[in-house]
Amino acid sequence: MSRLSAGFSAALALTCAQLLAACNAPWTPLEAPIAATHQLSHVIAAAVADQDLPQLSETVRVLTGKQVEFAAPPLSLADSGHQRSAVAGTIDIAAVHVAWTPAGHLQVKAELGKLLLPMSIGKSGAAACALKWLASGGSAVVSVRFAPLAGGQAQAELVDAPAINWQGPGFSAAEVCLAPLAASAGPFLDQQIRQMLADALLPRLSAAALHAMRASFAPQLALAGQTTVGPLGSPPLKLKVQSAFGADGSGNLLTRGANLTLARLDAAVEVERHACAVDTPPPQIAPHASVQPTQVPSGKSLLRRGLNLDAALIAHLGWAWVRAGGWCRQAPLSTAAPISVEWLQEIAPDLAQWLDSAPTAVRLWPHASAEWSVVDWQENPALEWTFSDATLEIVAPVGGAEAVVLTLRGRLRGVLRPSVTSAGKVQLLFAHAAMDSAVVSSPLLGDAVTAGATERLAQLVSAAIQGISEPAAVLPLEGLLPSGTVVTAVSRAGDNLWLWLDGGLQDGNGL
Amino acid sequence: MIAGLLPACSREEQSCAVGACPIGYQCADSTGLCELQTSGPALQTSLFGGIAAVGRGNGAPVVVGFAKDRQSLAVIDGNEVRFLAGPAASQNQQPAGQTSAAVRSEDGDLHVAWIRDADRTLWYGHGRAGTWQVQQVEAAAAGTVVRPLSIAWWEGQPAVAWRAGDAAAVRVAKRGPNGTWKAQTLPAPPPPRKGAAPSSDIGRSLALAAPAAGLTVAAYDATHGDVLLSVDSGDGWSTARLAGTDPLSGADTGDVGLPVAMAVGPDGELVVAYRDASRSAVMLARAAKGVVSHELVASGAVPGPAGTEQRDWIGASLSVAVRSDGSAAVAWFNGSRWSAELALQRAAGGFARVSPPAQLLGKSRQLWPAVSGDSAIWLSWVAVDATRGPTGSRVVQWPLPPEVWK
Repeated sequence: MSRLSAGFSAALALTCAQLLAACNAPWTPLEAPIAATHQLSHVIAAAVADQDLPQLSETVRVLTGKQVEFAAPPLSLADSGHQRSAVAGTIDIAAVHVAWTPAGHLQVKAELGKLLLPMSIGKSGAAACALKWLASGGSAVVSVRFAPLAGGQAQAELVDAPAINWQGPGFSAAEVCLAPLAASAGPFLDQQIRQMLADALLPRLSAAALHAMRASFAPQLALAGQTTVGPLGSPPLKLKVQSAFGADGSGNLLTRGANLTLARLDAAVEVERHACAVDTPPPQIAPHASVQPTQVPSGKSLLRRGLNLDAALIAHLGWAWVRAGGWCRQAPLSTAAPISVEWLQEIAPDLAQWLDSAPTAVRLWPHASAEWSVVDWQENPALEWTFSDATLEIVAPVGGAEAVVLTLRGRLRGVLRPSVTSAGKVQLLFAHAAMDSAVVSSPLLGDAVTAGATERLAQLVSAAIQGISEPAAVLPLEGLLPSGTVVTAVSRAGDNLWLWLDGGLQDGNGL
Repeated sequence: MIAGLLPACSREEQSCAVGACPIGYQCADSTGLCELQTSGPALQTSLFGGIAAVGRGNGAPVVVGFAKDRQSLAVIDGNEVRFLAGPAASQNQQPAGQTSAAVRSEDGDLHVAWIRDADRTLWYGHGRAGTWQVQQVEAAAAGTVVRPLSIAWWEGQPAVAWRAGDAAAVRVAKRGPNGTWKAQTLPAPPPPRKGAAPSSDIGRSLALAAPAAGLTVAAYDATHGDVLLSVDSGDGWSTARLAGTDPLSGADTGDVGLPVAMAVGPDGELVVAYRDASRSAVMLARAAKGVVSHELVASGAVPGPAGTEQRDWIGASLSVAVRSDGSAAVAWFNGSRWSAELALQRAAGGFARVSPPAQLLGKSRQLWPAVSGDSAIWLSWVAVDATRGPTGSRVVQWPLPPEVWK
């Protein structure tokens, strides 16, 4: 997997840009495999629920075109000197039905409407004879699969040659226009027409089926590369990323779950440790053996599919984020949740007289790696993080010079709520934060601070972490999914997270 | 020299000799240590906020700062205190002097500029032999004046730079021989790279100096986190990016320049100290004959719990002075420890941190350090004590002994 697509580079660049502050170098192929301790099996899954197959059918129909035009030039019949006129018309696709075969292939069957094709046959200089080719209906079948390639990549491909079948009669057996011709002329003309119709329809139907398959299971999810990351001013840290579709040797990557079909990926992320982060091994959480959403969203969609992120992957990414120094943060305090001087006065009464104005900044120093889990927060899915030991520093101006005026140390926990933006992106919004057993002190006042104002202390921690959490991190999905893909919903299934996707159909459909 | 200039410190015991005794301290005969004085005008003046320390050929620097309890601008010279503005200067005056700057001219006179916050006006005072003349810089020239402020002596007249509050830009005013002031707003430089936003917030920190090349302003460009260097060579102001942007690629190299301080070396070399917020570091740039070099003065990296590394909040309240041999002394406030820190440039290269004697530090915190002087460098700071509160602050001064430079 040494080839890095532009989309892939863009996606991973975004990853570090938004989660780790800055990328210092372009992406390059992995120079060494990622250590086994970072390999996680089956922690990403792209899935299509059975309940969405009718919508998938309609989408394939739309991609193909509800009416497919065809045309053919005049055709000379060499033996007799007769010539068939030019023909043109449209094939009506009345309906499309998709279904999964036991082998995991997606079978697409198009129901074709009645087709009446007028034409004429005659000789030069003589009157032409009008005739028609008629089909009461027909069907076309395309079967596609999601097949493994070398290095964990995948592609959508046709299983068999697509086929089209028309229900008769074609030319009427009593067609008078064919009577003057040789006996073989009728079947020849019929075959020519059927071939013309197949040439017009089957490539479009095949392309639509393949495109729907690619959009659903996203071959872009398989990637590999390394770069350096780190906030400006920090030594660059090497970041390695790899994900691969897990093949079982069957030539098909899709497996059936309960009421859904899915493609699963293995993933690995390894990052060098920032000096501000504790040196801890990655979390040891076993990925789930099966994937099952608690509820598939209802409502209209073009091509709904789900992206499942296993709890093991979430914990690992969270660990990598902390390890790269992404949580050693300094941030201006949020205007949405400012810290007033009065709060500090209640927490540390002797402090207020020193301050020019309200605190301006906050710093966070984790002294432990974070534990991450998927939880419910006010009936919405959310990510909860916990540092068993961390320090918060509150910075305020004193006589025109900024100084750390208060430090809080304890067990720090918070909740980030994934929220879908109007642009179809997922951002992690601050929802809640608290510090347990906070030890409050001040570089000025020493440990003589009495943190009696419990409620104010809670407000202070919440405002500080809100400041740290802004601007909200955005999940870097561009380049990992077909262009134009949007997230429509986020849901939770146990300790897994589901992102529900739609769109992404305008990219490379070849139609 | 020291003994003769500092109050009541004539002994040669080591403790007193090393640091002499600062303002507000006296050398105790019984212990040989500098001990707090209990009375005296300087002691009754508690400065709170950034100070300007102005060196002189010999003796302790004059300190200019804001006396919080008097809401007035104070000039402390040895054990003498003079209020230039505010209620302590005249009962009818409004509070003034929270932001001030000072410079000494070749003739030894003192020149002080300050802001009166109530009406955001700019003021100038000229002191000679204890006599002061004060004037307001014409409002038409000054505009809306907000902090910060810097003053330099240029071609026989004072020049003042400040941040124009209404324009988020730097203005510089030069005083003419007839006593009138002419001001200019410095033009914003081009963006650091193609497609970057224009600089629209300049001067949250600034410094003014007068090297031979022309009146020079170093200022913080908050839009791009850069240090700008503007020079008036006589044909108008020209501005370049000194730090924060790679000069070749235009790439952002960090948020630098808040604050910034500047001094002029003995050979006219421009020395600019600046805080690198991205690295939590203090840096020094030297600019001479079009060549700029940058050097790390100090890093804020300190050991943290569980084998981690943290960063002290260093570099606030920054000050730089250059010794007669060209060596730079850089002082800053460590906001994580509430301490004044000092680093001296070594002849062999690099900087070494130097601490004042323990008896000068005591248990107090040290804020708003300022280095000044040339042949002899002094470190001045405001000592605060949590139990005494802001009004119990004292100015402390330490003449750097020759051995600390080795």
